[in-house]
Amino acid sequence: MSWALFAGGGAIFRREMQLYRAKLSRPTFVVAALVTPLMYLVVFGLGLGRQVRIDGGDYLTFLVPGLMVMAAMHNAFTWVASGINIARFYHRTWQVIMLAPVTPQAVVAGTIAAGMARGLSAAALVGLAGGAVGWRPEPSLLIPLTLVLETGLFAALGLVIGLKTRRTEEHTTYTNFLITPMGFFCGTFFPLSSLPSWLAAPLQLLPLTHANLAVRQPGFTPEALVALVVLAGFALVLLAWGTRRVARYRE
Amino acid sequence: MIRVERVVKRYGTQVALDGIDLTIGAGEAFGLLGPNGAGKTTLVRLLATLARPDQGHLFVNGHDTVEAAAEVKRLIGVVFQENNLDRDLTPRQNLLFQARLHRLPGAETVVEAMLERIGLSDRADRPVNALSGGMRRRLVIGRALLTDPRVLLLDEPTTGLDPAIRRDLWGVIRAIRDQGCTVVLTTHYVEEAEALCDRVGILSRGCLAGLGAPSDLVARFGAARLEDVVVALGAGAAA
Repeated sequence: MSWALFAGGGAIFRREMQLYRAKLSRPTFVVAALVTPLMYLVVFGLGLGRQVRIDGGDYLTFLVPGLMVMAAMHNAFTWVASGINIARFYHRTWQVIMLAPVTPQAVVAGTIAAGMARGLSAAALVGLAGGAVGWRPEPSLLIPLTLVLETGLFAALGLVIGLKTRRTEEHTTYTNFLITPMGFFCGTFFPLSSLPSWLAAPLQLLPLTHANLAVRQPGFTPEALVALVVLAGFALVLLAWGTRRVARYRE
Repeated sequence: MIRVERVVKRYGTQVALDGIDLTIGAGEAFGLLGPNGAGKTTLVRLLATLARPDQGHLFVNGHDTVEAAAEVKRLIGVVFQENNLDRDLTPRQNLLFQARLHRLPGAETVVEAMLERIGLSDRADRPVNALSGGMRRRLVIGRALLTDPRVLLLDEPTTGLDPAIRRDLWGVIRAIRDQGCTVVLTTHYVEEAEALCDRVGILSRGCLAGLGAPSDLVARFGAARLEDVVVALGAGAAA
């Protein structure tokens, strides 16, 4: 594979980061992006959480990695999907990229790297907030690695959905019926073992379940490795799908 | 040079272009006129590689817009009706993005020169949101020219602008034409096509209903003005 395939991807990443920085300069935007995970942290972690223990540990230790995973998913997906949606239907800036002599691989690489950066930033902020209220994780590369794979996967999903939608409103349908339910049911707030098997079994098919499973492991256990492989598999499939979507994009 | 060969484009059951044949010479300024829905924007989108024809072929300097889309993209600059700019970014950032996407050597210098050329040097670092409509239009045109295109496609570039800004942009387009760039311009303003174009094509319901120099068309159809020819051909095809 030649690096020339990705030429132009850096320009797309850089521009996305400039747009991100412009948004971050508005305090209301930052508050809006973080209010949900921080609310969960306060309500479930500090409120209800003091009464709950999971697997012999305190609830905060269980909850914070899950909230990081959830924030990473939401931000990686939403930024890419809604960004493309707005660029296609409102600002019409997607045309600027499509009119440039860059490969679909470059478009995918730049867009997904930007989505990952946003997802990872959000997860890091939630982690810092968790640290401020007493979360003390064991030093390990497992959480960062999981988050990298997870944000790549959901940014790629955002790319696919962003290019698949035919109207601006369609994007919220995917958020309401796919992303938000995953945040609640895939092990963010409670382990899947608490659910009846008929409900837990299909949830095993969803990527967020594996991200939540990986970040709760004490190290690179066999379970963690399987979860990482599953996440990587999802990411590769979605990357291929996204690349195909970009290559076939027409107005 | 642009060659359009028996091009058909459909959107569902609607035929947007119905067997268009057209040749536009290198360095020529060509206007596309016609009523709404005649197929003008569709033809520009096909030339810009943003859409594929259902039948036929389009060539820009000998490159097929489907088979050699990347080559075509290197040759063209495109201005659409909308100001498709990143509004939270500055003019400099918008131009630098274009320069880097096209991997222009010395991007910063090229952008600086373009900001000067379009008269936006003093506003280069303010958000696009803070620019007037005319300034945004100049920025969009400047961005299209940044890569020094051999062919410039302008889709209704002055629609919605006040007369003074329109005249100002005519000067910019004339200068581009005089530098030998092939210009394809779609417009609803007949006087704009007369002022800027060597030849015009009048599209109606996806067909090329008239083609020639503005003065030739007026003489051929025995009309007083080109506008009468456009209205007559548009109405004739619709009847």
